[in-house]
Amino acid sequence: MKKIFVILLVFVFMACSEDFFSTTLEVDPPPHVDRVVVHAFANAYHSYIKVNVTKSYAIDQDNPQYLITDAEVVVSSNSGQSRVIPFSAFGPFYYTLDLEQGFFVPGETYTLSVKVDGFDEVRSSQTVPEIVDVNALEFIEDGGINNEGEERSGVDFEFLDPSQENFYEVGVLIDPTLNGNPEHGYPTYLESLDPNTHRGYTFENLLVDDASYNGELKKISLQIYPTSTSEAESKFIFQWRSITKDYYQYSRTLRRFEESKDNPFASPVQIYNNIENGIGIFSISNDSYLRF
Amino acid sequence: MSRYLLAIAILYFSLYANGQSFTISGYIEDADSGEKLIAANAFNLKSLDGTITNTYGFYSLTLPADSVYLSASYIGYQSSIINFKLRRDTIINFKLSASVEMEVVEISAERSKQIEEQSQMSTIEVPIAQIKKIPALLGEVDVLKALQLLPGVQSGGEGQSGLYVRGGSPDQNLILLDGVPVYNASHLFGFFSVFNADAIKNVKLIKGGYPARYGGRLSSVLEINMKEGNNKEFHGAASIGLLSSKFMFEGPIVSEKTSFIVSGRRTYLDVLARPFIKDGFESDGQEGSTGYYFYDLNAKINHKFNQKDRLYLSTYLGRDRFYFDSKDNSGTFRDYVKTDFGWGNFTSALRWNHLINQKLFSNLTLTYSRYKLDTGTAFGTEIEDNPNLKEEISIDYLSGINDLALNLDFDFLPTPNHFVKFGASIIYHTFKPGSFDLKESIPQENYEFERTVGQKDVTASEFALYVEDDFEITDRLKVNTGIHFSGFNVTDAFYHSTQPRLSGRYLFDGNLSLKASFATMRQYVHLLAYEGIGLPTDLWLPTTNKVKPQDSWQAALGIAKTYKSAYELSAEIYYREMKNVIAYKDGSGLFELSDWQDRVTQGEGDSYGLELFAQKKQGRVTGWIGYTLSWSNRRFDDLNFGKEFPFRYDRRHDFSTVVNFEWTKSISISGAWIYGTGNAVTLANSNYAGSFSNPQNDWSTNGSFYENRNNFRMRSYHRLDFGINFKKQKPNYSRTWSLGAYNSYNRKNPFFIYEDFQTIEQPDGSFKREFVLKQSSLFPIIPYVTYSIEF
Repeated sequence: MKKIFVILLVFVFMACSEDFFSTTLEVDPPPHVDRVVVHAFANAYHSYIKVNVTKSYAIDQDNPQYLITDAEVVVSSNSGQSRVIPFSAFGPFYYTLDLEQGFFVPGETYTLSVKVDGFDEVRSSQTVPEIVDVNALEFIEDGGINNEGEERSGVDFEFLDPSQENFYEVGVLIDPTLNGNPEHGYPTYLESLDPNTHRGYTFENLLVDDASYNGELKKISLQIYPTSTSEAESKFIFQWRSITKDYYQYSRTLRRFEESKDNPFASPVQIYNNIENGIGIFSISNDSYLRF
Repeated sequence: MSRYLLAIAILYFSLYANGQSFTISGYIEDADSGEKLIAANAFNLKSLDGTITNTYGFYSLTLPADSVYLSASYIGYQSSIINFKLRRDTIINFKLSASVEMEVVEISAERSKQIEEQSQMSTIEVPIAQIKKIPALLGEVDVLKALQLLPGVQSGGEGQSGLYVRGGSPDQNLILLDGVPVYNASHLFGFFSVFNADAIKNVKLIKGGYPARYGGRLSSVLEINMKEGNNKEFHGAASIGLLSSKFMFEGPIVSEKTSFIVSGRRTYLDVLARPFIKDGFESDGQEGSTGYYFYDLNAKINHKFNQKDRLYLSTYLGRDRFYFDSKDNSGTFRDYVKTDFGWGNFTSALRWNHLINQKLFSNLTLTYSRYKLDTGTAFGTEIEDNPNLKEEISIDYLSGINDLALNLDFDFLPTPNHFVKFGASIIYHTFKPGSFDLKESIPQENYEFERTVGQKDVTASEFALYVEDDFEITDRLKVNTGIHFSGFNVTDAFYHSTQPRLSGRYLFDGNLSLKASFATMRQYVHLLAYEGIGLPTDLWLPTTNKVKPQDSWQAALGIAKTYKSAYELSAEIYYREMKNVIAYKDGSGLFELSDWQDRVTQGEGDSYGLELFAQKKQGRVTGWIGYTLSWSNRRFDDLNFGKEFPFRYDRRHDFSTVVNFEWTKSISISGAWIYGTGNAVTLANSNYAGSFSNPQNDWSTNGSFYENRNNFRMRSYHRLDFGINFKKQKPNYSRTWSLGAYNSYNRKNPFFIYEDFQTIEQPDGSFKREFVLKQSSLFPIIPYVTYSIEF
């Protein structure tokens, strides 16, 4: 009997080290490997490509130096055209090139390759999406109420969705110069009760998928801040962008990542990645603009 | 299915017509308390025909007219043998006395059903007496924690009471308390289960090869039966621990006819800590209180009308509550805040046993089960001179599920070779998927605002029909086969499923058998739960036209052997596939207002593994060793970019050993050691700068790169618990002092991992902030002392 109590006491005294009652301890982070990170956006309408090249760093790395200034960045088409995208001192897209109109041809596939010393070459390919015509566009002064019960004006538009899988981004730009140039417009916040519209990372715009109406005529109603008919005249530019599936997934996952990163109860979000051997996104979009 | 029933009927009549036979039936019960003994053996020593009692202690054995040596036996009891000439249908009720010495049991239980003889596999029954001996957290015996020590059954981790069976999730376990589903089985943030061991008679866990009478869940069936209450004399038990006390009282209302049992528990940390908490608030210039408690109450009453009819009414009520109230104790305007976080179950069952004839036993049950989570916060300002003039904003959150069910079950024993069960059930579900009630009031401005947002109640009906037969084809070959048909009707959708079940064993010489099973299961209710910590934020949700029912099939193969009558050895391999398992989408989580159907995604899963189990049930040293080698994976189109990833509770190795040693008649020692591979969690491998939306506005955020979902393994989990019981018989009662320690070598087991920054002084006197990844643990070594009495 006495032996049992001695054993118990030994356990108690042995346990009284400095951090005995501490309930936390440091753990090693998951293994990290430096990877080339590429964010590259091309647009067939504007005929440009802008690229940001960095490298990833460990989650416990202090003051990381991630910018890569000496990468060899090349965009090339299946038809054999290729352009080197030079580095410039102006960020955040340090590798930028304005291309000649018609460089990006709808339906053609382009490959972006990035070579950085000490890393395997990273690359990604995208096919330029076709522009889809908007058949009807209408401003509605009374656009109903939004999810919060607030009054909104409306923008209805209609288009014939091509039969293959398509993705779009829609925006409405306010044109303060009234000259109809989208370069001078700035986006206004869009809402929609249509279940095919989704919030992407571009805060004001909406992403659109065609999963439920593939190949059919589709009408979508958008909501904007209340505006009278007279104010609307010549004030808005409708932005209708055809995007790739990769960009659609990237934008949606990036939005969810951003919204949830400080929520301890939310599941971690993996941001969509289409860069082979690296991290990031390469996308090509194609715009059309309608003034109304 | 009608052809199946016809085949059974033809078989029955052909066997019945083959010579003159008579039926012996009755109940087998404990001689001292009148408690019915479940799965006791009734066995003719002459012909070697036998059967076992059902859940209500009833047996029926049809034998040819001849002399009979009828033996009734049950492990831990002295067997009883009656010799008579069988010339007519006969009723014999056995009253077995508990063995004084375990050695006696070994002899008398010689013909007890041994593990290799049972047609069912993947089934474990742990005697409640053995569970009570396992050392426990804070001395509080816990049924679910004991089951987590069995192979194929895992805990979620530190501080979690849920069961993860063969790669399934906790919602995939059908937990039945006296036949009533219990939706939330945890107290105290998952540290304890809701089952009070003093009120429990029997615990049975089925991990695979499910008999057709069970349905509605994919992974396991946990059947817990409450005691009925001593129908001969009054008895009781009580215990006082460091954190909680409990009592149990049972006895006859009408001797041998009507009995009751009532038991209760309550924690009192809130009461003990109240003076200190009050001082703490006062030192901050406030008045207030905070605390946590849980209580539960079990009650059961049963009445025997005659040999054919018995009525049972049982109920369980349990609730947890965390509260925090504070108010400024000075000033004209006093700010206050009140928070209340509560959850609990209420279950009730009204059951009528009726013996239609000696071969046909019926059971009609009306059940009600309710799980409710309600949490609320109110804050505002009170005016000292007029407390009624206060501005207040309050937010209440409510979710839960109510079930009203009717079950009709039959046990039919046409011959000793057949034990047929068939029946039907219907459940009316009311789901409360979560709603917020927002209120604001400013009396002096006559302003009142109230708005309820969130999800509306959803009702659904679920029904099931089943038939099964435990059929001894030859002395060596026995199968349990059946079919379960279920349907679910919810707004705009109707689903149904036919689920075949088959399990069997082939006996070899030398107490060795080969077992195999196949079962399909369907589940119509889903649980959305945050996997991180054991918060009671469970949200039970129905199958809808958007969210499909979960399906699975499982096959298993194993061997079982009894060695020297005392050791049970088994090895099983299993493979299970699951469809439409549910998970939160990336970035979705708790406390969101959006439609829950938009927050979830459905995918597939599989799990497979090997389970080894060796158990010793008799003698001075009892216990078991269990080992599981397993894999469990998930695939969702919307998660991990469609690639397969390990389930959070994928556990490659899981080992446990439990030993109870009866040192003397008054001193017993027990110990348990558990080891498990760490849980898989998702942590970033790398960070990177510049995730841009598009080049037009140049916004960017820093991103994180995850190689895979659940890419990181937490530290392995292990701990050693031990306990010593000192029992002493006093003139009118017996008392027991229990001492012990949970996690006796103070292993820091992982609870969760979080990111933190620490400030480090540099050699030049400056300070630098450094990122660190930290693991939080819950329990260091926790000693316990409990005093209990039985009378």
